[in-house]
Amino acid sequence: MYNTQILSYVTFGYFVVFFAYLLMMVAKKEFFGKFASFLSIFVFIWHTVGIALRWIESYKVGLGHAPFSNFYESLIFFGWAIMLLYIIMEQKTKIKTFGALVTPIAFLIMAYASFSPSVNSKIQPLIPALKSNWLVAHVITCFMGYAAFGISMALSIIYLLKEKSKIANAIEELNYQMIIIGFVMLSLGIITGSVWAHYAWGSYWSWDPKETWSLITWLIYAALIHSRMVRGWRGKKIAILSIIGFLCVLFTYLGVNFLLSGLHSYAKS
Amino acid sequence: MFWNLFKSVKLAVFLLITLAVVAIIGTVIPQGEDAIRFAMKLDPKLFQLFSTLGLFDVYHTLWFRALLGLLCLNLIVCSLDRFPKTWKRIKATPPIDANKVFEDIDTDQIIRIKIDFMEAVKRIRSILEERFKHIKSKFNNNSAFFYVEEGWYSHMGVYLVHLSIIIILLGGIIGSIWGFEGYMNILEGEKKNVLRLTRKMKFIRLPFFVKLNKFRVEYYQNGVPKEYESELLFIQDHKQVKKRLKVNHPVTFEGITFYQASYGVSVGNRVYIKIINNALNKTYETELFIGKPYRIPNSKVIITILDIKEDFAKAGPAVILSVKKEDKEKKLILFKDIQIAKKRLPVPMLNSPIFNPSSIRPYTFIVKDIPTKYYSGLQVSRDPGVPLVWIGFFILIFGLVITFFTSHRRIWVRILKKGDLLEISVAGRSNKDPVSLSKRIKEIAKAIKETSYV
Ligand code: HEM
Repeated sequence: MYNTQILSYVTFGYFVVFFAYLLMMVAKKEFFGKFASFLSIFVFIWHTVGIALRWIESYKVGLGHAPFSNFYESLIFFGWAIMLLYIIMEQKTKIKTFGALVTPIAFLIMAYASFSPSVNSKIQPLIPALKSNWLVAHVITCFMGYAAFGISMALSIIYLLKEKSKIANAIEELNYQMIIIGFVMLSLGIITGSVWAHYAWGSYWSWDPKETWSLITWLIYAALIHSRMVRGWRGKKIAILSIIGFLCVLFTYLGVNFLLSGLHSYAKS
Repeated sequence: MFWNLFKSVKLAVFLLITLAVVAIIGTVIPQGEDAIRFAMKLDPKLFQLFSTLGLFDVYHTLWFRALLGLLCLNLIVCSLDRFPKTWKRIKATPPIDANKVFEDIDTDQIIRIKIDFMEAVKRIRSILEERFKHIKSKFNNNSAFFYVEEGWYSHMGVYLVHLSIIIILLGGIIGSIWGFEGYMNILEGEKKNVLRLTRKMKFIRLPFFVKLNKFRVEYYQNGVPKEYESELLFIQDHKQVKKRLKVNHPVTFEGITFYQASYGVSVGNRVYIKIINNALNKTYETELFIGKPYRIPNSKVIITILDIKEDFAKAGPAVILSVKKEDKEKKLILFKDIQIAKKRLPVPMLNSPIFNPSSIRPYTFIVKDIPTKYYSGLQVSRDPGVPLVWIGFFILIFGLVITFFTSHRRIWVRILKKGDLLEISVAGRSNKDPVSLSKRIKEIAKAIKETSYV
């Protein structure tokens, strides 16, 4: 399968990008910044090609489904979404220092997907319940949300480290933008997921642990938005809440599979 | 007191966090049917406490619902408290000749040109008319002011979001009061109208019958099911309706929706059995039905199938047979495949007469076949709250988009006579999102600059 091969090169590619951003920060030369930005886009394009190819190849082996259905595919898409949001953010703000914190996250996710023996990278047949466009929409929106929250967590860490610096305010503002994107996406994710559950199981909400944890995450971010909006919390408090929020995301995504039981498909793949 | 408590956002944050914590508890303590195994390991006193608090079914306890109710009350009071103020803020027109907004503006918001004053007024008006519905203006001796606004509805987004939460919860309540959720397994060829409710030891009867005409399942090469579907026939009085039910494509009959949830194979109510009379060296073969006695020819022995097990002691399908001979009854358990049973069962157990097919002399009983049938697992529900929930979902997303991605922008354009030059400035205020406000202002300033040179 070419797709897994390309995607494992992409993993390596993100490591190089990470290194380029580090070099930029250490050498303080604009050239390295430009190089890193160029490289991140270059690797991202190959990442996209890898996913598209996986889709095509799934038809070749006669299974034919969108590449968003098992644990491996969700990790690959998670990494993709993080890089997509990061690249957009970098293009808009022209601030490059965050690259050194975001690209290693993408690298780690991709490395886990590509090299962990517990993650099966084979294109697997879909059981009938997973054949639904709602499910595709569900995975895409959820992981877009997770990616935005991931970047927000990275920004929060930077904020806590550089609270006194000049760009602290800009980071805080950017952080909130990411949380907003994440919140809208997570809302869409929960909604599409529950519409799918309605058609597949006859119940739009059944308090399955994964469902419940996504609601918990949603509630935490809702609390964050209100404390910022109405109580005027800024900076440090928001940064800490955002980190807690992302821990909830991680638990929803991974912890539930490994520590709790439920009917979500990733649990068994 | 009541009002002040429930209008506070502090309470809202507290409730949101509390709900999150309670939800966490519900995922840590096994719920519903899973709870039984966990509960047995608990200390009796702790068990008592947990079950009084309803911790084995947190999400359906009264106090969890009360928390949701408080959240709704909080939302309603808070919205009622704020809405009039918000409305006033939307309606209020600020002074049109506000000089204050022009302090500290960027240089690219200011255009200096040599042009006739009335001509400038005309051109600016037409630029604004292209972009805004209502234009307010005010003229002084040496100056002219224009005022426009857009996106007033941005303030409404929050109310929509909050309203949507109430609608969704209302949909949930309606569903839990007037709806039901259950399941039924139907064998191929069988007709049923009874289903078991989920989470309750209760059965209900549907006002019609469901018959499973045919069940089909297709597999991938590796044995994973690829697709399965039931051919259903709904029968009500003289009405008969055929429907095909596939996973992810529910069907509805008389307001009750059926979902293809699972399937399996099940033994029926008949077996084929071979009886060998070792004394006479005679063999009889016959089909037997559960509960229907059969007299072995040329004897007074009556045998009856008591039960047919799909999987007895994890050793495969088996038949429980009663053998009656002159008022003395003995039981036998006959496996369909004795070889598998020999591998799976411990030897002492196998040696007991009940498992020995030749223990009742002079007969040997052999199970020739246990015909199996597919059964289709149907989830059956009626939820009149669903449309409301869907509407709530829609409003939620719509409201979030309005709240986060639109803003209420107020923009002023001022023309000042400065000697033989005109100084035209554009400035604005916005309830949020300063970036897009400044984009809008710059776009207008650019348009003004461009027409000024025509
Ligand atoms: C799950 C429940 C809730 C959700 C999803 C939610 C969502 C939101 C959102 C998205 C905003 C807009 C924030 C912004 O503009 O940046 C907001 C604002 C607000 N929320 Fe909520 N909210 C919830 C519950 C509550 C409750 C229970 C209260 C009760 C007091 C409340 C009071 C407010 C207030 C006062 C604002 C600010 C409104 C304004 O700008 O005037 N919210 N909420």
